[in-house]
Amino acid sequence: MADWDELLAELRAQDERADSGGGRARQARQRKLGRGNARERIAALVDAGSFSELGRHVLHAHAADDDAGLAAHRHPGDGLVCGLATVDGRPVAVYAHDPTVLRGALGRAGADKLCRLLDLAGERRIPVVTLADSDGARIAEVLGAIEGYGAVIERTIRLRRRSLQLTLACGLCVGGAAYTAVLGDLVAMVEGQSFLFLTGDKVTRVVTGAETAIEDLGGPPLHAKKTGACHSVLPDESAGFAWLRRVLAFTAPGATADPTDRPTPELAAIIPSDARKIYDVRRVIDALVDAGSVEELGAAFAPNLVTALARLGGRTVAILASQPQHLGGCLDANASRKGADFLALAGKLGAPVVTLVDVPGYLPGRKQEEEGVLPFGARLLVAYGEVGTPRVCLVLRKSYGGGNVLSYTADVRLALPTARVAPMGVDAALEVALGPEPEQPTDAEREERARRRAEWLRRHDHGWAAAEGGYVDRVIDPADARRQLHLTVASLLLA
Amino acid sequence: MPQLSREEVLAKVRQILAGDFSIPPDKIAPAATFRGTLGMDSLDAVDLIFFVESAFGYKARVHDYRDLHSVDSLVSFVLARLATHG
Repeated sequence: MADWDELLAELRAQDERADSGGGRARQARQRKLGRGNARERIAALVDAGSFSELGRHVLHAHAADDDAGLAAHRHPGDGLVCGLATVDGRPVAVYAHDPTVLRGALGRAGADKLCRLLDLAGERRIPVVTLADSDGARIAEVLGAIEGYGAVIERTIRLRRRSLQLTLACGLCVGGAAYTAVLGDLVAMVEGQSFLFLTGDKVTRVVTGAETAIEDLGGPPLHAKKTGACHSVLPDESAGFAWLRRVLAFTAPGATADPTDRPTPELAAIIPSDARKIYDVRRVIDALVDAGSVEELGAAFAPNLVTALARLGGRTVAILASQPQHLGGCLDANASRKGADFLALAGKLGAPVVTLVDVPGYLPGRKQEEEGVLPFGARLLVAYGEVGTPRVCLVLRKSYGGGNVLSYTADVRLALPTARVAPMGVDAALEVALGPEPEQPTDAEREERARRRAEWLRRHDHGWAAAEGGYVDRVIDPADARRQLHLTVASLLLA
Repeated sequence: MPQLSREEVLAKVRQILAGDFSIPPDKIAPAATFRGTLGMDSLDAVDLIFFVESAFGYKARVHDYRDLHSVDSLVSFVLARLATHG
């Protein structure tokens, strides 16, 4: 029997093999590229000394005579590092593909241990963090690769109801790795080194005959601006880890030195009383919530609807806000999809929803209908209806037409004195109320029309109409808006 | 960076391809194509851009490289960059 010296020497050798991933040379190349290795990435994210690794010495089962050539790539851990840890004292399940082992492609052995991690996370309802850098399924393992990814994806879907799932795409993220990323709640990418797609440029060229650059297939600009799959683009990996820590912090209440009754007189200066003038609603959000607590998500996609996590009296809140700077704050298909996904996140975080409304309606036209404004608008409605947390809306100015989707399902509706709530915009409503204008009106007809117009505006176009009708619960002073919002959210949580 | 000759730029590019991509030096001829002769793929190309820009001290958009398919065309691109951006 081997003595302790031999056993410990073997242990040290095995640990060195595990730590070296696909080889020290490949790891050095990663560092030269300014990128971390799997264990370095996990260490950079989690609390020092908190990482408890699973399946550290797992090997794939392919023997030297295997015709797929996998024997040369038999590394402890099988290209995936995973385990439980804490981030700022809160438990997380974390895994990182190892890009130095077959470019992080997931094989059966890696998939099996990943499934164990996801099961542990689901049982404990703890967040799952993926540090993705993977070529997708390990094709050389043929059916084993498909079975492995199938099991991972099945668990990822099941976890959608139980655990927050965050992905930082640190490198390549192809096929199954891309699916698992977007099946989760939030994805961040790193400029110049993250790529997220189902089908790579090689297969695209073979199938379509078209040469397509990798950044056009799945670079950060594509997903941040056009598909909405990426919620934040970071300049480097360390900024990505800081982003993950900020988002994870929203899973629990935090302390704040910002008084909940702090007056907000600046709102009257930020929001023009003239509904035709634009402003940046992000300044309104900053004024209302705890100082410095805003984390905007998906800023570059559908910027006409701002979605942000923030704190109000230390409590996490999910903010949706019409942005008059883009499309005049109109809703459209993309904004509806963005809002619906964000509300699902709010529900998972247990975060009350605060909606700031200044919406002229839905963007009309054939293009919008073709892009699915109807089904996506319905999705937004359903998401509001099913979020399961308190919903408060504050109408800043306009809430017209289909745009009332932002306020229909609110538990409590507040409004500033500038608010106008109507089934359509003033001009269109007047057209309906007054009928078509005669082509050559007489002076009397013109005078009568002006009189009816003034009367309609006097009766309907003022901030109190919706409050008098009961649709709005309270009209509030902008200087008192933060206190009122906090009070309303707190009262709903107690109710 | 002092003015570099075509030969000096080629030598540096060959050094990167051999050292960081483990490509046998005898395959790295000026006419060698990245995808065909050298067997590189698109992700290798992204990494190559990082190494080349680090070595020559300039920064370009990834799109600027999209029509470069051979070692020689990359050398010409680097020389043009250095001439216009110092």
